Amino acid sequence: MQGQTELEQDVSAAEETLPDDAWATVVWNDPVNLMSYVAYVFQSYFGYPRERAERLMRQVHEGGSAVVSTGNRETMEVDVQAMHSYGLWATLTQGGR
Amino acid sequence: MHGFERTSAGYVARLDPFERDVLVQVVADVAELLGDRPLARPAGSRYGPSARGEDDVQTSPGDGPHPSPGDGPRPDGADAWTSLDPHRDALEPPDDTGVRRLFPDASKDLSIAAEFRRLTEDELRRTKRDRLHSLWESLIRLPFDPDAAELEFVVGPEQASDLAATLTDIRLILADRLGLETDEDVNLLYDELADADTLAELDSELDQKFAASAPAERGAAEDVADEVATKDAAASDGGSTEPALGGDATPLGGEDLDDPDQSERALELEIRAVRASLGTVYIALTWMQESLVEVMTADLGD
Repeated sequence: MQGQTELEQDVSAAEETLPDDAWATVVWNDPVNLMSYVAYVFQSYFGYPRERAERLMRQVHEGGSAVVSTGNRETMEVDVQAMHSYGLWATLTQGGR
Repeated sequence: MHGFERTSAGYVARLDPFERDVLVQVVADVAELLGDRPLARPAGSRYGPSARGEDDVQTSPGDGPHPSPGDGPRPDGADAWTSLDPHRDALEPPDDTGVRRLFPDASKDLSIAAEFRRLTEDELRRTKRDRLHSLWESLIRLPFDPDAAELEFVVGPEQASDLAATLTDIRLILADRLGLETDEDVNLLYDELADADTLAELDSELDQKFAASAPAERGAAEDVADEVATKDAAASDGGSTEPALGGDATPLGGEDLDDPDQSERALELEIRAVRASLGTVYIALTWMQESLVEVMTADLGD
């Protein structure tokens, strides 16, 4: 897992393109979760096409994190809770904070 | 063990009875770590049922059963302070690093993280516990045929996602106990266990120690079960001083304990053996999950 400093840097990088008030669900890389399982979760939970799910999975695996969904805070809380239920390491962020 | 394959009956894996027994123990331990009531272990195991919450993981089995954590949301009674909302208690993050990985902080903003934990952790805990419980029920119900080489584990496609998620939870706890924090740590574990010569040497030295000083048989399953419930002992750097090895940590000791060198060597061997057992289970579960996700993904389509 990553340390706090790395985490903060990655959050900033991941959220550059989001509007200031947008909430987002960020999934972080970890050494335990299988690449195939992470892609499966993105495809089955978010309903993303296989290609998009695998692209996001690679972004998590190779880049350390990926924004996997955006929306209002309540919706993002539901998504983060779902990711935790699947065993993925996910956080809730707003406009880079 | 044979990984999951898609059949007309569902997704089917095969386990031999020993593999099943090890898995039952690990599932029961992780469930208890999350606050489930004690679940039965395979018959004949010296690792008897005892309630183990997060905060008494080093309890000696010789102390007898402890009060069950019951069905409450938190086994550790985390109610150190009350939030501004008088109707709800705030939850502190779990003390156990493995459990904490299952319920991570949802934000680096501490107030958002605390609020999220207060709203979601109880429900998440119940979900994870229920899934472990279902897996445990399925495993103990696999019909035992002494003549059969393997047991058939059939999973309906509608249960497969829950099973994949609970295999993840178990692997996350095992990874914490094994000290797997980076991809490199995982690769090293695979290399370590692939080194057949080292393992054979370890086995042989352990056999001699057992023959010399421990009349009771101690199986790999018991080592594994102890280690899931015991923090930090199997991490590769955990052997420096006094690693917690559960209640019966001295099966290798015997008369050698009078000799500091011998005793240290015995401890080192024990730690390596435990790490090998735990690592073997981790790798087997990884492989099982890989095979399951492969058939699930195939059924999802593009």
